[in-house]
Amino acid sequence: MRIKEFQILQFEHAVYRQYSGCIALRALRRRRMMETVLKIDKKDNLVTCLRAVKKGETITVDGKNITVNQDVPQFHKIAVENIAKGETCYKYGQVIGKALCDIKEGDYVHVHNIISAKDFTA
Amino acid sequence: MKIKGYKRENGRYGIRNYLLILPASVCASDTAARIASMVDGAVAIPNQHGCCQIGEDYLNTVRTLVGFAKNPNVGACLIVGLGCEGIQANVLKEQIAESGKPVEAITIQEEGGTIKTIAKGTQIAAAMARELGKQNKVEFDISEIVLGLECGGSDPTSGLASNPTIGVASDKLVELGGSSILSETTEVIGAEHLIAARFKDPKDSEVFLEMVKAVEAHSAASGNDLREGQPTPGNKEGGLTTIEEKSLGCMHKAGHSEFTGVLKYAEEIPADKKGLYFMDSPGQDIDSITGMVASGAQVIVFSTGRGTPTGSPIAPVIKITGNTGTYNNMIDNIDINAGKIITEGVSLPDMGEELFDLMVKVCNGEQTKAESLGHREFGIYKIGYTY
Repeated sequence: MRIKEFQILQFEHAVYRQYSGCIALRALRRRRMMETVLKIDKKDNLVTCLRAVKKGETITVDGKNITVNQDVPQFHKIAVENIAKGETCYKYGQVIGKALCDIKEGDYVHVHNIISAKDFTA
Repeated sequence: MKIKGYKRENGRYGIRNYLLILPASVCASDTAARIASMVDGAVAIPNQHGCCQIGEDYLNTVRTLVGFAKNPNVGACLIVGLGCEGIQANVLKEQIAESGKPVEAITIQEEGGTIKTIAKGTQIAAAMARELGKQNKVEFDISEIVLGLECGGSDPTSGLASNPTIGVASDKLVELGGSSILSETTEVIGAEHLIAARFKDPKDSEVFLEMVKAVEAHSAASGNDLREGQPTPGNKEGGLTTIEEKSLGCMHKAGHSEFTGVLKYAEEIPADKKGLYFMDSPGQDIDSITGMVASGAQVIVFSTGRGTPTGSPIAPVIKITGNTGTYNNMIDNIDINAGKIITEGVSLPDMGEELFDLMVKVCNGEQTKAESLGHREFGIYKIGYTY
């Protein structure tokens, strides 16, 4: 899989929205190489795995090396920061849920440890 | 850009030329299906409702049935009623006739039972089919096209690859003067603030937010937790965790155009005010597609991460996935692979162009995989009790 290209596309999408300038795109292309995971927005504390990742593997996000604590299937998510119980989880730079328990950097994040931030029964 | 299709009496253009056999209620659905099976080019819809409904449910059903018949992909319509049902065949006929297209109505009770109704219905339908067969395609501008935007069986690739691809194609159509419809109110929950900010008219923005609140309130009033049904088990297996995450991916289908207005479920899209619309509908794919087709969409683009075979009785449904594994697994059903963005490094604008080109071909008559397999799923959004 050409992860690099996919990563570029995501930034291209974000850029496409506001600029569509080829210069900005090329700069992103040069910067974003060899990553296993996709961080869509600066604000995000969750990243998406572009391939299945094994427990103990190291991923690099914003120059920081993170050891992955569990096996994570392709397209599922990993926390890139410690997230305390009840705190907000971000993807696309937007709220996608809140932590059901303390989540550690490198943890697999899914329905077992986060939930919608909306309470529909209220 | 020009497309070739069928000019209708009211000035709209169809990209298919169906004869619709329309059951006024569930009691007439089987009879309608049998008439359709007798006549080449005829299609019946499996109406599960049409009787003992009140309020919004009654109106939703009427709008859907009338909207299906008025859709420009339908050239003529035969209504088959039982006779005593809540939605009367002649009421439908009056509303459908406003479009100027040929429409007839018969009822099983008046004709004297199944056999006589099938005989009479087949006679009428066969004559209508012969007339439709005489129609030649004419050229019309692509701005006459209404595109329905759907996603279902989503996974994280939907928000990352296939939905943005649809967004590029939708933006291009809107730029060329055409219309697009985003639907699925449940699947904007968590992204409603982003969509609300994109309406031209702040009043429409308020109406849209009320639609979202109504879904949440309806779920709360029933004592059930919406989170039990959303995301679905397949969404979760694919990697989508919450309704917000799903919604934030879903909304990419609408690209970045401004929203021109809001539509009720199955409400007819205004002919004189083209652009991007939001239509109130459930997240359930079949009900949602049915509503958009009833609104006037001649063609649907449907993105799927997990894979789905869904079609529509009267509109081609183009299937697109962002997941190459799913494309290969369900290649009989999926028309286009936006997973190439991942596996082959195709750019988003190029992928959007590829989808747009396919859409134009389909509008010109090329069959989608759902059409070639005869997929004709149909369902009407139901809110409350049947009484």
